[in-house]
Amino acid sequence: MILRRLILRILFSVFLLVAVAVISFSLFHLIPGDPALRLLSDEMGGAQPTEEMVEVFRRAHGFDRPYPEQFLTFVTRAMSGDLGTSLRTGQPVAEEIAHRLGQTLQLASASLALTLVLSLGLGFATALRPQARFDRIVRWWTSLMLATPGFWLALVLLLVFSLHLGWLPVAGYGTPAHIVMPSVVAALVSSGLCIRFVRDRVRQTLQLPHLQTARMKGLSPAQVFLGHALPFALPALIALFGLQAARMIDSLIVIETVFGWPGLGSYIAEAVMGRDLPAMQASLMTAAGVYILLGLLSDILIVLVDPRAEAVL
Amino acid sequence: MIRVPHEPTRWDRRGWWLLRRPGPWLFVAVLVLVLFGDDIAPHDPQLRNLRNRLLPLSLDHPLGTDAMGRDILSRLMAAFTVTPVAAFVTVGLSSLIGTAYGFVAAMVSRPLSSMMMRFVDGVLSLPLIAVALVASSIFGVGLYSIVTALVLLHWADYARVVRSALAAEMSRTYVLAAQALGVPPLRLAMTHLVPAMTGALLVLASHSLAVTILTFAGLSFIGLGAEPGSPEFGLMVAESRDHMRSSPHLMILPGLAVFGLVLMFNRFADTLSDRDPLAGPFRTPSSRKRRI
Repeated sequence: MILRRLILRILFSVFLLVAVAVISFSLFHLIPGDPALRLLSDEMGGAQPTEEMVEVFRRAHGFDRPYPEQFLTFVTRAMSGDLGTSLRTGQPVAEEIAHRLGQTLQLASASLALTLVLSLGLGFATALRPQARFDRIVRWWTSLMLATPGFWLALVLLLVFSLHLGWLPVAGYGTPAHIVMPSVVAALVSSGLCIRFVRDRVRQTLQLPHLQTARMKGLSPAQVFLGHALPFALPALIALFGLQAARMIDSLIVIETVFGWPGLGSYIAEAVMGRDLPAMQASLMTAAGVYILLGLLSDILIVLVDPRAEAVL
Repeated sequence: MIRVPHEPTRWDRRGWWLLRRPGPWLFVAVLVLVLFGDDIAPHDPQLRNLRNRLLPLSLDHPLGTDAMGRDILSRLMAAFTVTPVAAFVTVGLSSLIGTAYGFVAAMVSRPLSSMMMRFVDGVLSLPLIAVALVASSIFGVGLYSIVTALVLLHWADYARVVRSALAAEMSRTYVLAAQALGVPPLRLAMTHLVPAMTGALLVLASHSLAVTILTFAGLSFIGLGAEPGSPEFGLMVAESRDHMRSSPHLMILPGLAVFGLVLMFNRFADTLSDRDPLAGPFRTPSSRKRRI
């Protein structure tokens, strides 16, 4: 039964990936103007090609074929790692993206680790002693963090710690000092939601009848917490952090741009600025692919931890 | 000291106690700015005057001028008519579409309704940036494309919340009783089901107003939102980056405005969900069940 659900869930992800491929393929044709004309004039450095040249180009690149056939060519090329060449740099987009994705993963894992530490630590601490002064301070802090624009926090920290105090480098990539500010900003921005969620979820769990029983039969607080509360709250926490890891893509675009971190996020921003269509198409597919795969991964993890949860798949 | 609870007077019962709180006053001030911000601005927010570049604070320009010689105060006031309005439109459109969709999904029978919810799951598993990219390359960079992109994503949240709120409500005995009495479906919906889910919807809407304002400012900051040159918070921050060291207030003030706006809407949503404990974003038991 679980296996059948699992296969269905994987098929659903595959279907979503195909849908994303269709969207990014149609991006090419939905943009106002003839795609063949646009590509050719880009190749000629912006000059206006003649009607005949466009016709020849269209024939040569298959733009006169029916859409489904064009789509199949697009997908088979993408599968074999050919995502076109960037209009700005002239490099193969696939190579650029693979390079950038690795650097984004460094930043994303650093900030996700920080988010985990912050939200699990503060969330558990406040859930165990609700309404204490510490709980109120954390609550106040999370409502501030929920309202802070990430790009602004990044610039303010940059102003204070790099320009005025000179403790950390302004922007760039390479040394360990470079990763500190971007990952701290990303973690702070996402910690607002995470701390609250962890607190509320653990608090609800602690009030459940079977936990009262566990306390009453004389288990130590640690045993109650590790043996009974944690397994119960775990699936929700996995769902939260899976979603948060996926959302990281959206917040990293802005943060990478501010700190000049050469990752996928700043690549997307550069592609948008430079109206670089192949780069936009490819980064769209990559971002959506990562997003969908993370969703699949967290759903599978949840089922592994909590056998009752097979219904979600 | 024992605090004696305040005896509710007639004024209190009519809601006049609200006037003693800062929140409603702030809300009215923001509303005035949103409606008339660019009319009551002391200067033309778009007027460039290169002789007045980066002026310090003065009586004529209370918050100084930016690198183009435009008055900061006027630009900030005008920005209130851009981002919050776009966010209102986004939330309004997506809540309408999502509510209708969720309603239908809750009413139709099993295979069709689960197919409809799978579609919602599919929409929710697209990253925002992908949809924003697609919309702005098709319609061109501008607020309209971002509103479109956000509506295309956000309606799914409403559909999910409405459907699960309705599914929980439909199994309550008073709804069963009404059905047994022969109340027609539309009247049942209007008298029982709509009131039951307005709380959850209001909380979701005010939360997503806050989130949408943040998203707008962020997208404008990277050049995917408002048209370059228009008064918008994220854009103003982006334009002031080059002068961050010499005039930091150019960068700090628009961010503070966004921060205040978002904080206000979040507080509003929190107050609402405290009054209706079932309506909180993570508290509706039935709505969480599907996600976990």
